[in-house]
Amino acid sequence: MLNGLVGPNKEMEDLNELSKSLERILPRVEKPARYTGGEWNEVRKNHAEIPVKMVLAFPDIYEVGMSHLGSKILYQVVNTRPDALMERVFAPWVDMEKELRANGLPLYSLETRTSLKEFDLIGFTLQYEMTYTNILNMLDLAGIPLWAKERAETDPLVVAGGPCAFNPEPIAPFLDLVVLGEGEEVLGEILDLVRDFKERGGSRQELLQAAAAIPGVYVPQFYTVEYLDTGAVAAVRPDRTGIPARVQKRVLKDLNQATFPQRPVVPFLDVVHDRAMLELFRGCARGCRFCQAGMIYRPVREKDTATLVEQARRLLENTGYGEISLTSLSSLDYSRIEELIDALIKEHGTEGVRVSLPSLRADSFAVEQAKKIHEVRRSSITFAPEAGSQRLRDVINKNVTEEDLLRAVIQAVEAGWRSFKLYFMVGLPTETDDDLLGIAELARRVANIKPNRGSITRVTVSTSNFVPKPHTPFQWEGQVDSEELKRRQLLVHGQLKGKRLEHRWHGTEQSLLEAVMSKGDRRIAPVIERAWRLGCRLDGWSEHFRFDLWQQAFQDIGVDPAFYANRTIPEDEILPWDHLDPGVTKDFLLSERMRALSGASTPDCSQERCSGCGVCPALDIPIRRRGETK
Amino acid sequence: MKIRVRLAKERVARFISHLDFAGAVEKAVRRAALPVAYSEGFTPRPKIAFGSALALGGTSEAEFADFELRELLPVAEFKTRLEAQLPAGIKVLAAREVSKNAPSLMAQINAASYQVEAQLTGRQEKEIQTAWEEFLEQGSIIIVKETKSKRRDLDIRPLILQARLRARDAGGTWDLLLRAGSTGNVRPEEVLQAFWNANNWHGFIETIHRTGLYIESRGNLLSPLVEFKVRGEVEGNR
Ligand code: SF4
Repeated sequence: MLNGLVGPNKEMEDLNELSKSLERILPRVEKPARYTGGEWNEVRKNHAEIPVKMVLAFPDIYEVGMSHLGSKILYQVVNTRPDALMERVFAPWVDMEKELRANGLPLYSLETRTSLKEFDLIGFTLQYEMTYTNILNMLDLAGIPLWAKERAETDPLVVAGGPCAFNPEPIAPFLDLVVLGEGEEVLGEILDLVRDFKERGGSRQELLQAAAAIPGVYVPQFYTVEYLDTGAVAAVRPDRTGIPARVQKRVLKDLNQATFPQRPVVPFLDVVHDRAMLELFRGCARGCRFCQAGMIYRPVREKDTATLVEQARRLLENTGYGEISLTSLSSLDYSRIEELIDALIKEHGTEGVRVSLPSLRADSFAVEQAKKIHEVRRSSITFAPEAGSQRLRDVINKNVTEEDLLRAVIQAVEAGWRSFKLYFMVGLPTETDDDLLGIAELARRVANIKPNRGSITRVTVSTSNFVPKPHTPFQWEGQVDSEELKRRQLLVHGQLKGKRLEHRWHGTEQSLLEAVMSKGDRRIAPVIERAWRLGCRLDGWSEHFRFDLWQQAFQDIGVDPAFYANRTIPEDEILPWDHLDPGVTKDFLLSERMRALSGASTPDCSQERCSGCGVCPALDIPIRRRGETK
Repeated sequence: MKIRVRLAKERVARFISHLDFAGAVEKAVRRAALPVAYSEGFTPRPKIAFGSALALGGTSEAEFADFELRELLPVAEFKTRLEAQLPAGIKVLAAREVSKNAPSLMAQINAASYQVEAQLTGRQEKEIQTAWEEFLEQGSIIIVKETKSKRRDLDIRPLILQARLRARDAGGTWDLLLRAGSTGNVRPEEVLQAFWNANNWHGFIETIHRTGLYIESRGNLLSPLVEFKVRGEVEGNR
């Protein structure tokens, strides 16, 4: 008999009602660890003792959200305060959504399994436009009214931030507050305000009005939008006094002083970026004209090398990761990158810790650095020339030549890499078929390189579709229509047949929707709601993307997606996001647009001279090149 | 030196896969700055070898792992330092130094014991108990094992080494000692599924708890941790 064996150890902690139901549900869903919490470094506070409670809602699944550095920073910032707490929630996958709905359970935070409705604030991070239906789905699962105006006094405040916050108009009617720029300080001020209101009392309207006075905070419901007969925006105006006509973004001036996420939550699941993340600097001033991040995160601000070495040490100690990734927009541009990489390898290399770079620029220096750190040459190396001809690369201000690229490839092959990925965009302004043929030509040249040592086994060409983004020199451009985009993709595809060549491209329908969401105004909101009601969610996942339902939603509401996506906007037209100010002036964007059309390049102001974008004077930041201290 | 550890996996940790469980222990080892040996090659990994994998969803008080250290360290210190860095739901139950050339856990372990709680709505205690006894009295119990590429029949009767059911109305508690490892393997949920199928019942497993992993040899059960006899001969089958 089995008497000798010890019985189950039923030492369960006190489970709340929700947790009891979860015990039954979780075994039935895929990857249940997405929904359990309990990871290392998770912060669990007693709700009874903390005045301000916030939940950070990432509108995509756990594996994606847990790879996002910005969320880790905010988690640390808020949980360091004794008077506030922040917990996490992610978009549930379809199986979990079904279980929650079937069992009548609310969406809950991972830390304490508290229904989202119980929090004072829900913060959504807007990383990409294709997550908008997830936001509605999460609000609905939490039992919170979708439209800001329908929320009751006791409902949580719905706050949003992140890159898409620079044109949040398509989802603005669902949001109570929007934070422009870097959230660390602004969020602190919002939490102070909420705490004071909870102590003193006051209505939701009063609270919103007080929040609107915080620099960097945008309260959409206090602005009215008027339209012209043409469909264009006529004006966006505050509807009361004390509300700024334009909201300017906030940034941190000195990153060395900023809170850094030294105790990030360490997921059990193998997430997208399962490694320690060291942020070297913010901003990128290479000035690629299609790139929104390059405009809205300016200016470049670096951390000191000594600070970084110390932060890396603490990060590794606190997480136990075997890899540290140098994450910034173009990490190799860090002024003392060699010194930093050498220091990190020297200190941690013997413990089996690897240093990694998320992306590489196409030049010799990049390959030299990669050689030092990427000891696994079995994996591929990625370069992003973005366009297939020098002419078009000049138009988009991507300052890489074919020579640079080929030299970098040769060097990489000789160092042992065999597989290459090349990223391009299709549908860029002024693009002709010659530029597209140039993509295939360049790829073939790479594939046919005969190095002295080593060999190339595979060249994978990825072509995404150009999506014009707000606050870039290309914000006025219309996206090439879907049919034409498809023709262009197929043109490239037809040319990319051959040994060692592989081609991947993005669906043009998803790109069309992304363009609408990027450049849309508030009239898109009902379309998003309709699409969600028709069943759209997880639109960023091609297996769940339902373009037919989106088309129906546009039709039902009576909105023409082409008006937003494909129309070239006259320069004197008011843009739906003109009242939101990233510091870069419209004049600068216009002049960059002119320079683009004439093929004139603009140098990187963090390496060469200031190109007068306006950010530094607007935010009262001294103009400096990288590495300069005065 | 080599240290063999017995770990428990409880509560939230039951929802992490075996691979992620191994990853969590590996990170704890790094945080604790324990002097583990690293593998050679491009991606050095700490030398930690786990025993037989537990299916996601189950709890366990019998997860075993061997840690190879590059320096001598008192076992007690190893245990405390590791324990302090393990996430909620993973615990160190025991640790012991084993010989550097001890065979791997994977090679040694050939039996596992489980306690399973299951529901059988609408069935009486008596009915369940009798059906179970009849189930075990069969000379062979064939189940179909499906992998991605093929289906094959497997007789699981010889893989059930010991079994005891404490039935109650609408359910019961099963104590199972099953063959595990490369010489034959059956999982508790497969045994119970075969039982439901044999009676045309719809059972529902509530919890699976692994109580032990063993080295079974000529009817004796040895623990991988304490290399001496833990119990007498394997008795009858019920
Ligand atoms: S103001 Fe000048 S230095 Fe500052 S980010 Fe703009 S271009 Fe660069």
